[in-house]
Amino acid sequence: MSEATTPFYFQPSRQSPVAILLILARLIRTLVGQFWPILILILLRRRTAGNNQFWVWIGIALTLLSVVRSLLMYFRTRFYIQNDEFIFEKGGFTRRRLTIPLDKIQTINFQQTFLHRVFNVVSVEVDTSGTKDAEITLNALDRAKASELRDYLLRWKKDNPNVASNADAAEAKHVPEQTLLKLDIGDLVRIGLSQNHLRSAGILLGLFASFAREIQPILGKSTYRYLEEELGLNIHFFWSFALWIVGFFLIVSVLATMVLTVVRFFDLRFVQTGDGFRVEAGLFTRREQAAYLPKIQFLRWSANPLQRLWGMFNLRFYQATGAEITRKQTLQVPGCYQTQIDAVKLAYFPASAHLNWKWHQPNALYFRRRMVLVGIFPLLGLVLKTSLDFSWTWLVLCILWLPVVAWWQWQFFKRVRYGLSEAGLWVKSGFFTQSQTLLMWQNVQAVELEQGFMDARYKLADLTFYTASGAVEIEAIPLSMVRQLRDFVLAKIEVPANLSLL
Amino acid sequence: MLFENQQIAISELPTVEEVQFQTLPPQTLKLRTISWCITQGIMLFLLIMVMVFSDFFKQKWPWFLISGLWIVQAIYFFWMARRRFYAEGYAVREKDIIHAKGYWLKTQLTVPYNRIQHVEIEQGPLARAFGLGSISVYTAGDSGGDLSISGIDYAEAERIKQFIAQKVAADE
Repeated sequence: MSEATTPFYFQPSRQSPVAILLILARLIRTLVGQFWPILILILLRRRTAGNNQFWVWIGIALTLLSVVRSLLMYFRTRFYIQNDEFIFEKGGFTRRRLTIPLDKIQTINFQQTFLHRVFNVVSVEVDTSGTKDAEITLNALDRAKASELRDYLLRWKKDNPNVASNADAAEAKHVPEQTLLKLDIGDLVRIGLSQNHLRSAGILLGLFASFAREIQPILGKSTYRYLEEELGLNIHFFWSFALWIVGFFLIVSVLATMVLTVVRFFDLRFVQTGDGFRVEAGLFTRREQAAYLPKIQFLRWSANPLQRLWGMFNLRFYQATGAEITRKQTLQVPGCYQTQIDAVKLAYFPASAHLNWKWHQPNALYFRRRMVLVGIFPLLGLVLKTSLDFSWTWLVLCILWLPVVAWWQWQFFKRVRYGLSEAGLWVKSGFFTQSQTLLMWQNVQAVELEQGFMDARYKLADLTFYTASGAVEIEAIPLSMVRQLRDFVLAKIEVPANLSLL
Repeated sequence: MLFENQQIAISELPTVEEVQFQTLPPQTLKLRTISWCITQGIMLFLLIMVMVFSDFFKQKWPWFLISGLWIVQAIYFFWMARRRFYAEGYAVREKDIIHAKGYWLKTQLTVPYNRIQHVEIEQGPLARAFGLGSISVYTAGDSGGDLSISGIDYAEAERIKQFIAQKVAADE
């Protein structure tokens, strides 16, 4: 940073002019996204339609309007820092001015789409802890300026720890940045292959069906009929080979997942910084997300059988965000190995390694409850379906359902473990996909004790710990223990907190 | 050290069990009975409309079946409103607020004051006639750890809000 001139962020600044282009691109994309059925209609009916000119004029008008709006949005967006407040003026046709106290700012994320990278700019997202209106997004800012701004904001937070939010940041040891993980192409292939392809094949099938239904009114007849008549495809041939279709979608899903994985996680770098972690990844859109230690509510890492074979885990940080932001701020790092997990555990919950964990298992009622839910209720539906519309496949499914579910749920139940210690909770669960959750008591926001009528008979209860980023639950534990645990956790967090989170 | 805290002896912990829960005022039960009447009335009206205008009900047995089902569920919900009312209660303690409720599934939600973001009081038109209101206590994030007591005495809700505001201010 140069000492001679005042930094740009102390005087009203505009975004990089590239922003005009980006705003325009986004406007057009939203317009196309909104009106694509009409576009298809125009394209399909082009030969017959007489009043083509009308549409051309509408197109021109919309384009002009978009350009004007983008220009307005660019020239009316200004931002600067004044009296420890971030001031953000924005607006297209209506104008708004937001003032956000610096201590309300939670995280600053950079994002780069392909266009951003061409011009070497980033979009900056400032996450605040206020209402969702107060979210700030700068469409484009020179990379150097953006880093400067972020450095200033982070430095400010460090220098003003007494302003509630970032109590721990000041204490954070000044550890030099350390790259924990870099994914090479082999890792990416493994990550892509080990995704849940059955699920994505199902989603693809659903998408295909809903797409087919949506363009039906435009085509004027059933999509399948259209394909059959216009393109000469024999749909009956298609449907009678359902297996073939499932196979097809599976292959598509594997390919699509591979592509998505590469696009999303290409050249992923997982870095440990002095006060948290940072993940950079992406092929076209390069995302840079940060997790600050004081904001991390709990950790969860999981692995399915294939990932276990390769010793890989999928790690998730659950982070606190602004009070009314609906999307959960979870940060995902795929392809972690045990060393990275250990490093993250050590940073989030240093005591976890040497604490005396007491491991508990849920009561067998846990198994029975889940049997009723995923075994008996669906079975009733299956039986009903079979008796109304008999076929051998359904009968076989009916007969096999209960034993298979019982085996699966028993395996699941056998593996559930709740680890308790004076500083936190450690949950291990899952059969196919085995996951572990690590939560520190200090992150708990509220505690809920639940007891269903069956629990009451066996003197059991469930306990849910709410954090600022979702909940962690332990189920079917003796009531006396649950009560003791609740009182203990409450006493822990009710100690006047110099660790308050938000 | 990230977690600095004095050692707590388990036996000295204040326990939620010993708490005396404050029950809701009897007007709340009246209010809930009225809203039961309203919902059941609307449902009955809609059912009768369907039954009068639908061909299906030219026969006799659907009448018996549907009205039987309606009566059973009406009685069930009438009874449940009572059971739920007697199971519900709250306790305002020195450091947290507890809300207990539920008949089939009993829950006790505890929110410490030092985790509270803001408190809201609401009063619908019907509740105003009875001098009742509802108080909601919000914690950070999108967590489900938000506590909401409806059918509490309005003045009492105001007092609790004041009390929590003091507590939250004292923490900071």
